[in-house]
Amino acid sequence: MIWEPLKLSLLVVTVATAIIATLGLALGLLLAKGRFPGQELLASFFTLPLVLPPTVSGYYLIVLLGRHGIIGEPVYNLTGWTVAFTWQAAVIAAIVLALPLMVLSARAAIESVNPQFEIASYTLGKSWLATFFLITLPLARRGILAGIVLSFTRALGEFGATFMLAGNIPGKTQTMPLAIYEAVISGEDKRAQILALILTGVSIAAVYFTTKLTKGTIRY
Amino acid sequence: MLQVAIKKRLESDKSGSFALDITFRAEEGITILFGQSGSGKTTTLRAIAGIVTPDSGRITVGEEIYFDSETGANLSIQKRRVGYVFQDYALFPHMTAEQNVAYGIKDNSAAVASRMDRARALLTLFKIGHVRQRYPQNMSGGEQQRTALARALASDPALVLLDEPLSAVDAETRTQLLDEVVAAQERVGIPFIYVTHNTVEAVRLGSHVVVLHEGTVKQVGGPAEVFNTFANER
Amino acid sequence: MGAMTRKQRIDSEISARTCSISTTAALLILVSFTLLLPGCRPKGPSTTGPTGATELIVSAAVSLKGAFNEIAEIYEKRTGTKIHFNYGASGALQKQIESGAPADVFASAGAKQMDDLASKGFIVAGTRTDFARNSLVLIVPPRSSGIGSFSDLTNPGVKKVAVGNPKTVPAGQYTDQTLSRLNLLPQIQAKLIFAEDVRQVLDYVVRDEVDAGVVYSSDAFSAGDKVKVAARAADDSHEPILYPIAVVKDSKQQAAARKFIDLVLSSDGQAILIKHGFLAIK
Repeated sequence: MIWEPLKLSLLVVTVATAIIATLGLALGLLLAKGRFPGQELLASFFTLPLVLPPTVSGYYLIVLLGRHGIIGEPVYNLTGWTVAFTWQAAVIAAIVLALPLMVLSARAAIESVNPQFEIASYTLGKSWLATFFLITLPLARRGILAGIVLSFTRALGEFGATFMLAGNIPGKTQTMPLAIYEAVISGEDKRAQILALILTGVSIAAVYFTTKLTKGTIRY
Repeated sequence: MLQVAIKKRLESDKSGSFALDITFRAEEGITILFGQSGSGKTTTLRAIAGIVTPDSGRITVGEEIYFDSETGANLSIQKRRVGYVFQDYALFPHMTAEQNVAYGIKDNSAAVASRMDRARALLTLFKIGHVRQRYPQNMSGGEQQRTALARALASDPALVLLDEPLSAVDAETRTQLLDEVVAAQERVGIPFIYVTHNTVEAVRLGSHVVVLHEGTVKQVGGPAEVFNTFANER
Repeated sequence: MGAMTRKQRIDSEISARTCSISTTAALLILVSFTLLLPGCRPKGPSTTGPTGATELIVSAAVSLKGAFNEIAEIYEKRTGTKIHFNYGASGALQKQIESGAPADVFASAGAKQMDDLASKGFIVAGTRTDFARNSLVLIVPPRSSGIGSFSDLTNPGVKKVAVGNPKTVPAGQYTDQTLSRLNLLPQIQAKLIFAEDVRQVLDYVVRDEVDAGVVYSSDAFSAGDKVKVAARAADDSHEPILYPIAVVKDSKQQAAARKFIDLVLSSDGQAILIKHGFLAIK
């Protein structure tokens, strides 16, 4: 009863963070370098889950993806499958809630790289893509890593939206935060304590190792 | 072999907006673009490199058309074979000197090792082989300048652009470096376009001086005639 | 010195290209989303388990957890059908069902949520029934003395009384009714501390942060000897506290769902509920 929520949390968070890291980086790049109409509107849109209460975000998610949802209904009619009450829903909730942190961090990190370096790279014949991977990314590494850690821990602790979309089903969608909530609410204090300690331990370990990784980088 | 005839509207922090209208040619040797701050010399350099697009005009290097507003031609920065030495060198801080220099070496068929060898050879040529594994922040101004020049040359350019590269260097090192720039140009034999507001540098380096003032070419000629007849606005 | 225009020029070129960087990234994402395809899941069950036996998903208010887990054991033993519980706040559970979440049975801690679902057509007609009642109790910290009834709350020595927020918590509404009925509200209104859920009220009392609290008898039961029950509100001092249960319209296991409800209503089920501090529906 301790390991099930832990295993589920680790699975959900790993998949979610992988997706957040790539998607968030791409969006951060787009917002940092792009110049297109409605850009700041797009940026505000992505920041929305940060300012809304998670339950509200969860509500919008379920309106969108539930069996009678705008996207969920056609999917259900086509495949007979609905995302509600599945572990995929927990991943989606984690992504939606934690992605803004990654996007903001990535954007700031990329913007902080002196454009002079990128221009120098172009004069030396490197394409924009090569420049991004060889110059921009390494120089923005710290901010990007910070974004990944932030979104990882946010995803780990995600509760409100997860519950709305994925439900609280032990063995299937009951992640650590949900398990803790249920244990507290139903008076299982011992179990709640143990789960909370484990979750704290995992978070500390994750942040610690990431800090170690960035320790050796030079200040530019 | 370099022909520039461009116009561009600019915002200048000194005197409000003004128009750039530059026409000049550069052949062998070192051509000086001389002028005070805000005269448009750096913008001209950037236009040649492709960093900035003129409003109209034509830039050609030999047979190659870098920019032609009439045909809409506008070669990307990457495709122009131009080496650029920035005012603050812009050496990649996360790479060593030899990595910086090797960065621009195009020879894709060669293995990484041979690119490194060529980089090291260049650094040795500039007498800074001993700093090859150092990072830019651990090098002196003079060493950085030489590394930046080596890097620009490593990409096998048709033209080298230098944007006031010695402005951050003390007077003593400057004299030494000036000699090295001349020597380097003689060695590689491709045209250098050198931007400066310093008359000493201009006289020492240039076989050909183009004087810019508030966006237009005021005078063109050898250093002697230019600085004797030109009323110094300093 | 031309800085703005240089930037503009670079950025417009770059934005055209970042569109394709995002496309590449988006493709990567799409690929990684295949990780999410229903094919690749953990031991997670669907409504048909690995053995082909049916499985049931029961959405129930958290307060029912203790009792329902026990009832489920009996159910699984008798029918071989596995039950998965989805415990949560009644309001959130209702929203889930309205959005098509695949629950088979819904057991609520209040009539309102069930009424809403029924009026919107999410419940199988004729399956809705009340399965338990609850009563309100006045609890005090274990070592406290001097409070033996609701009217003792007017004593000057009683400074803080925790209750559920009548605006948002059903337990709070019932408490409000009882206190009005007993004509105590004017005197103790100022002493009331509102909590957003009953758990919080329990916590306050357990930790001695307040002098007394009002919770359901089932909550007091779950706290064991961490609290002392000082008094019980008369059943007629508030609206009946009823717990309804029903089969969800879209359920694919309606027969099994009905069987579960039958078990809850049976003497075995009722005995378990009483054991956990509820009152039988009689």
